[in-house]
Amino acid sequence: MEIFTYGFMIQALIGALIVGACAPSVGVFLVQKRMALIGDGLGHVALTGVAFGFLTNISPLWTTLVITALGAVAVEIIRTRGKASGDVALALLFYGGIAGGVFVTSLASGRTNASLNQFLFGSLLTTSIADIWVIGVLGVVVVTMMVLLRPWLSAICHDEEHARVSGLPVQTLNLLLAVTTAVTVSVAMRAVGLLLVSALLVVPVVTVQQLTRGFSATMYGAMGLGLATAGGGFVIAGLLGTVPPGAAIVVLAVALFVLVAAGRAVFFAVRRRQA
Amino acid sequence: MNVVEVSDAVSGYEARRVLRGVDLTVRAGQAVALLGPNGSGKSTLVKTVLGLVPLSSGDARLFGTPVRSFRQWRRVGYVPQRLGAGGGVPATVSEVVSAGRLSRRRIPMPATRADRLAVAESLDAVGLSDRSRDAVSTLSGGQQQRVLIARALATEPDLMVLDEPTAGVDAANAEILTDVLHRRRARGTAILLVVHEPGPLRDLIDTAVMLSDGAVTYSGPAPTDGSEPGCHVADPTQPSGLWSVA
Repeated sequence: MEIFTYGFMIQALIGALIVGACAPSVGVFLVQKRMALIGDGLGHVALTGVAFGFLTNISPLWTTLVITALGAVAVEIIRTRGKASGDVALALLFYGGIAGGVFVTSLASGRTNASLNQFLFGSLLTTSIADIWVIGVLGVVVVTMMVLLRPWLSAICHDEEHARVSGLPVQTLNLLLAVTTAVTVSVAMRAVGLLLVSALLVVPVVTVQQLTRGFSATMYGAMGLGLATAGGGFVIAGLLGTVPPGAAIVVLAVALFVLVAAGRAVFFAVRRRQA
Repeated sequence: MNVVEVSDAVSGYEARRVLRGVDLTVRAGQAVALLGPNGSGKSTLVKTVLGLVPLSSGDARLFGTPVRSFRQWRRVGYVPQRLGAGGGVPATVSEVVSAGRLSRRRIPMPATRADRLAVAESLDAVGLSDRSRDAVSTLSGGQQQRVLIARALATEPDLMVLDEPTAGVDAANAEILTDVLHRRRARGTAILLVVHEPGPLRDLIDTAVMLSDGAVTYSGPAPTDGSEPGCHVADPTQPSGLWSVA
């Protein structure tokens, strides 16, 4: 446990906890909207954003934020105009994002594709104190918005047509959710890496929803589980020494999902036999 | 002033015109049923009235205002055919019904006492107060339909629009539904329904409007069961038809 007395470890842990609580608060709406993979698609687009950071010598966090937000808005427009189905829009994000990232990185002097590695799989331990501040502020903004807007966002994710007839600003809320997802992806890329971002958005939600009856219970439960998983995974990684925190966090999240699903199946099987 | 006033409406989807010059009037305290076979334009007419399908010509007004510029959506309670499942995140009965208050709430203000009271009263009206904390997915089809009606009631609407409210609903649940609608109509709420057959709603319906191929073929008292040309009993397990964009 000695390793946790270092300042940079505490910094990194705080970053992980913020991301762990923040990601499922957005993810619950994405799951309800059947857009669980959008986080993954935007994660790929974020790679292009990182590459632009290399090219311009601006912190990759900011360039990623701008590029992913643009990508999110583009997907939302494609989806609502109905010109391409959701999965086609996702395919464009996946391939365009990766290719763009490699292409632009190669243009930056002194950078090779190996530089992208720390963003693909996370690099909490090299995160600067300034970055932790940005992650903290953006995380609090995202969570506050999601909590306050929960009734309206859940209404548009549940039944968009009914929301329209209720006079809700459906398009504005959809765009807001898309941009918030982009912000979350950019914030989370340091903690778990762009390839694993979507796991933190989605896995705590689908784990908790097996046990809950309501939407707000699922949302708050998933935020709690996300926080616990991020903390637990981080500690496991620290104790093992060689394991990157991002991978440990996601493996723990998936393991918990499997445990809960299996436990629930056994519980109902026993109850059915008794009945 | 008529609650719903549609005249010579032509509307449809990108490649296909569905309504070819339809007139429809619903007054306060009146219940009008739209009848007709699959693909006759019933659902499209309802969606045109609600502004979900744009008019290509003609006129559609809600409470005297053209639908395009209508903003008082709190006066309209819409009951879709069924509860969308979405991505499977659970919702309690009371959470679903609370969505009916959103047209009255200011973003992002929390729910007021009046909101909570309206939700409780609506649940009481459909007899589901004791289920308010249950996951809505654990209710039967008929009970889910009652939840959707409660959501519309919570809006405190002057117009209720219902898409096949009794399709796939058992007799006991259909009776509760009909009873609720009778009471609303008596209080002056206008009701516009899409139905495959009048069935348990016969006593409620003041005027039946029969559609066929996007045009009105009959308008008058509700016909007796089995006499409607081209009508058949709704099968709840079937989608509402290849051509009806439900």
